[in-house]
Amino acid sequence: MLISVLGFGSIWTRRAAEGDQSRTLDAAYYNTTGVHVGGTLRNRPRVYGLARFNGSSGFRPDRAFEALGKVFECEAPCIWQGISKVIFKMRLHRPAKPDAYLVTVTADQCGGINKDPSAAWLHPDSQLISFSECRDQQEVMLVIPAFAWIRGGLGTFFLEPNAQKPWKARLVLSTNV
Amino acid sequence: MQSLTRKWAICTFFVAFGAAFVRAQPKQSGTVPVRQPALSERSRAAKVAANSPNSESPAARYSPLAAAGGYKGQHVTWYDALLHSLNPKNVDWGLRWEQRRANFLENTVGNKYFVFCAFLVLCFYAALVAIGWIVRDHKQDILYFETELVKGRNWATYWRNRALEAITKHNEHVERCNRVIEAGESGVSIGDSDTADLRRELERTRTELQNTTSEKLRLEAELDERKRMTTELSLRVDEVTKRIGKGCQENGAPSGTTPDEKAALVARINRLETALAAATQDNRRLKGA
Repeated sequence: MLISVLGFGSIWTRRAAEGDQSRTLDAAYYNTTGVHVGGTLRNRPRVYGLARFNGSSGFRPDRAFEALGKVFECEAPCIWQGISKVIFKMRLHRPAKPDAYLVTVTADQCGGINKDPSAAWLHPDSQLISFSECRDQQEVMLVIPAFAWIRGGLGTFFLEPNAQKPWKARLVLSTNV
Repeated sequence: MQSLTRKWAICTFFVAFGAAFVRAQPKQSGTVPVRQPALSERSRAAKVAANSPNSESPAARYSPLAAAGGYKGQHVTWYDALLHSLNPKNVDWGLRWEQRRANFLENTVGNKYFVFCAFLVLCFYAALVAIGWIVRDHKQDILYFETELVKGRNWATYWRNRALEAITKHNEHVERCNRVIEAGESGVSIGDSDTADLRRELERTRTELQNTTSEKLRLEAELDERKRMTTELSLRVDEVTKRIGKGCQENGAPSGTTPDEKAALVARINRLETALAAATQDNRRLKGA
């Protein structure tokens, strides 16, 4: 499965191989959502999940911005021991049309997501990875296909890929729905 | 006893003064006040007084000046005596004043260092005054802005409350209107459970609409891609057709195919190209899955 990275969560953690903390190739970097609580980033999960990036894929967290808009070969998102996970195994050398996109949305961007469980706020083909919330702050990490939608306080956002560069996409607020 | 002594002293004073006045009167016009020889005359008067106990005035017994005949005897006018009592050392106050004034002018206006220092002091005081004025002005400005800020905050609070009141009223009104409209449409008033059902239905419909919109967007994107692909393929087919035609003309081979056959061939090539493209895309999709 090919996933294009459009955004990251706020919290990074690193796990290295035993005995050698300095090597980056064997390290794994975990990304999840977080919100500011008392000046510190906290997870405060409503739904806990992780996006894992292997160090062998050439990913470096200090240069994470370089991975934005890039396509990774991934395992399909799954739930393991109650934790949503998506593993980014290898970065493609040449961009290709992805099957889904890793998107991170905050309450500031979408106006807040409705907490009412009866109200659907996410496209059924989308996969919720992580959801952090504290007071009026929210951060959501999703793996969603092209043209899927998210409903926030401001309205419904559709993920529209670029026609010429399909590995790049953006959330567009629809006024019709 | 004391009163008697006091009367005696007063009488003596008046007698002495009167005698001095009487003796001094005829000499007023022609005499020049002589001050320096007063001491010698006093001593002489003392000698006279000592030699002649029967003097004119009783004060002569103990006062050499009275024994010498008082100021009248010295040819001194009364105002000279008064002046002498005021200035006993005969200091020339005019000369001394003039000297002091000259010194003062020399040390102030005539001294460049003094002028420079005075200028600096004046500048310092001017700067102090300017700073004080600026500080006062600044404080006034701050006070003014604070006042305006408080006014603005008060107004903001007031109008926010008014706006909330208006919004609440409007919402209530719209809510009532909606109830009236719903009752008018269905003919019956709507209860809470019905409202909840309707809301759920609305939510479901909305979700369906969003899914449909999402599907529509996806299909539109696919359609655009197909169109682009078809256009590219058509261009390639046209190019191939032209090449085939040119090849036949160059080889001199008679073209045994009719235009209908050519069109059929082109259509077949188009179909095959489209099928090939679709198969390639499916293959990619399967690989991705």
